[in-house]
Amino acid sequence: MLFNSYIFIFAFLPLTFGIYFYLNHTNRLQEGRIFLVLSSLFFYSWWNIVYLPLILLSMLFNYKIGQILLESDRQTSKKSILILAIIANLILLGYFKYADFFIENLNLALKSSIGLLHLALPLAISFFTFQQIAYLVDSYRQETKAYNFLNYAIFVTFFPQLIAGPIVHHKEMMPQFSNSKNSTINPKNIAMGLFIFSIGLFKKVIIADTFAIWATTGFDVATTLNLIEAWTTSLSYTFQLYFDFSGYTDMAIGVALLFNIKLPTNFNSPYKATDIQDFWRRWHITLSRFLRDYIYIPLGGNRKGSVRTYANLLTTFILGGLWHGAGWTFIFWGFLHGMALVIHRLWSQLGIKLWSGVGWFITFNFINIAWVFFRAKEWDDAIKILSAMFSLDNIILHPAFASLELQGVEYGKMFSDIGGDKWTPFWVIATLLSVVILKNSIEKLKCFKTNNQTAIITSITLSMGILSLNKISEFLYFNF
Amino acid sequence: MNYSKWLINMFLMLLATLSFVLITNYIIDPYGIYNTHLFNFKKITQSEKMRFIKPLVVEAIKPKSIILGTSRAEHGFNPNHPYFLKPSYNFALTSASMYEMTTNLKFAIKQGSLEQVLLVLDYRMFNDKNQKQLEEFESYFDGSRGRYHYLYSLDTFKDTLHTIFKSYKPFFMYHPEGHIVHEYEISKIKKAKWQLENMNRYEKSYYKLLKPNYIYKDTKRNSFKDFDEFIHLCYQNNINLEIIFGPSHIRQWEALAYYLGENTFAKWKRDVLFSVEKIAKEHYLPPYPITDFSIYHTLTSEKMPDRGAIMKYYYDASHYNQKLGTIVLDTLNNNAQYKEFGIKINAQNIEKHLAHQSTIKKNFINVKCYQEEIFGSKILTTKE
Repeated sequence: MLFNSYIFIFAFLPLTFGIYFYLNHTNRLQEGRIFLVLSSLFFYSWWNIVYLPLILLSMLFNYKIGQILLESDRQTSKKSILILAIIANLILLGYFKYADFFIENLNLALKSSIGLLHLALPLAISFFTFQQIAYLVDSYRQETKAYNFLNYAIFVTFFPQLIAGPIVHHKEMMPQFSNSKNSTINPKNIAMGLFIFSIGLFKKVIIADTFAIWATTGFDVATTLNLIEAWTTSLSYTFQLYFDFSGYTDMAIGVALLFNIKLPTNFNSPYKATDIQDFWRRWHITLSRFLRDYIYIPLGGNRKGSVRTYANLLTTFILGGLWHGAGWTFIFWGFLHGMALVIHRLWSQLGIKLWSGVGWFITFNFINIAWVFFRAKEWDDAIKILSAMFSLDNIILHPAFASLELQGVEYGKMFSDIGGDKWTPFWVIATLLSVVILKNSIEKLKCFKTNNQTAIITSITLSMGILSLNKISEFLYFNF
Repeated sequence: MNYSKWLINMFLMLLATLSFVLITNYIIDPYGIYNTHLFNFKKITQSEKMRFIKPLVVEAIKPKSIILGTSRAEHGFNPNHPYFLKPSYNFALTSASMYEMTTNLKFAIKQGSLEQVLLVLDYRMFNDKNQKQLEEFESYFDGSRGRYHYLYSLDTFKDTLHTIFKSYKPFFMYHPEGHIVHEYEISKIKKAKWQLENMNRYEKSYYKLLKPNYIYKDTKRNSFKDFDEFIHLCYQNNINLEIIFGPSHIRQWEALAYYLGENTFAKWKRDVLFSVEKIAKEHYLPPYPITDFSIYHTLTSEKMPDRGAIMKYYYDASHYNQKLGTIVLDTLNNNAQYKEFGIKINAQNIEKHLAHQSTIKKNFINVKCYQEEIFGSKILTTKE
């Protein structure tokens, strides 16, 4: 089930909210928690019930191993158990997410023809696997407590964060679930939750879905692009991804707040970053935190000399790329970011400070270009976009500029191959300015006040979001 | 303001906003599907939404006769012509595939009144890139989207605003019977200054990306499966079907030959005919009549317009107007005004007919000149 659906907004959420707090109100806290777990599993199964046993087994397995790790005194056997448990988690993830990628490459390398498995990726598997690996590692380090299974089950399945994060940490979640103060309805949290949910819904269904049209047409449909279309395509995807993902996270934060649970911040105006390290402190913060704490630091971090530090950075980001998707373009995207971080470290050691405007320009363009590889289904798609972005042989300008008589420039429709119109450049520029200048949704939430202005903003963004769930497709291709 | 009061205010405003949008959409009725008629704004945004509007109209009027085909059929055929049983409706769709037309036919049959179908065939219907042009196409027929579904939509509201603030535009595109308003096309041509320039650009790219294999590129499905199903459905439901190859301008077929091969068009006509004959035999019934208007004739070879002039019968080489459509319908109605316009073809005369067309072609068009005009110096005669 998606947050941006009628079934969620008008049925699942109000019912779950009402029943959960009714049970709490009648002093049936335990039943309330059980209900929350069952609701979350229903939420999960809505997409495909086949994978319900998978998340249940994963949860039981990791909870049990966590208990063993906590209780065991023998360091050597604990380490073996931890390694085996992590491998088991990675095998599960690998089987569903990477099996076909592995087979494809094996076929290519050995010229064999092993059939692909064509497995559907179980919803949220990447998220709940990472979340539980963190729990295992912390249990090994004796940094967890003897949580009861019900609280652990809520921690893993709590529906607001289940399918797209933020990747929550048991330390920040468990105390909230067990705090009885959170069991009563809190109008402040409801107001703030609805405020941030409405912004998230607006970001997802109005902004991201608008840019998605140009990005999808440019990447997947158009066979050739002119220079301006290519830049519009890449920028559209850059904005689509940010507004889609951060919008979904805002919705998750908002829904969790209704239940008095505070989820961690996941985005902090990432496109304001003035260097690549700054970007990774602002983009998908909970993933960066996981990669730092559970891959980069265990690999040695920056403690084993500069060469090892660079190698660790590259390894971490290549694995981060692979986590995002099973494909060489994802790995290359991770490699590019890893390299950028290495270069940034080398540059920092030189002690030369760049003017922050130049730093922003370089960083934003690098991120924008790197997203091309992240989005492209095939290498050819990435090459198509990038070659058009950097070629001066394919410039088309609006006929209004025809009087300039520029050499090598054609005059005609500038955005026709990506389904854009005269408003497209306006939206791209306005959005670029907004992500760079304006406060982000979390900053707005922090200074939330109950006044008419916020009530109007919430009601309008919420109604626009709700009305946009019912999309009516246009077919503009008249001449056939 | 305390939190509870803020929540009440916010919910009241939310309710007011949603209600305002719903009521405005209903009153303005931008797609003409609620028949409110409170303001007579021209439905200028209807044209982009015909794939869901037409099924709603068909459901309402339950036509006895329908026209099916692509935008050529939408432009060329007026369902008010005496040829059609009434009520009649032009159920053709722009860029329709055979799959989409078969879906439309099934839906029209389901309404319970359908007796007569005119199917205007277009080569493109069998070879389009997409099996359907919109992902949710089937949902327009399965009852999951009633007419009130479109009330609570921001897209509808945008169209409502366009309808209010842009209805000063002189023409809108569709008649209530589903065919395209002639004056709209004429205004487009006038805007372009010279009709021929547009035509040339159009012909240059029309068939460029098609492949002559009767396969929808996106789903790899064979379009003749849909055509065969279409014919079977007509026999099973006692539909009086008439099939025609439409009277596009002869330049259109040269554009097709340039990209897809000299004999591709003739082969397609032959394949259609044999498919109909085969299915007729399976039903122990005579084959449905097929009439070829895609022929070399003074009507289909109308002279290209001078600068500022407008062609008598054509908007462009692909699309003909209702004047020519009426001549076609008169011919089908046994009231032919032009000699040898519309050749009834069958298994016995098809080869002779195609050979004759091939022979007389040179009297109507100079292929070399045409190719130089449209495609420049690069001459390709066939690419079979």
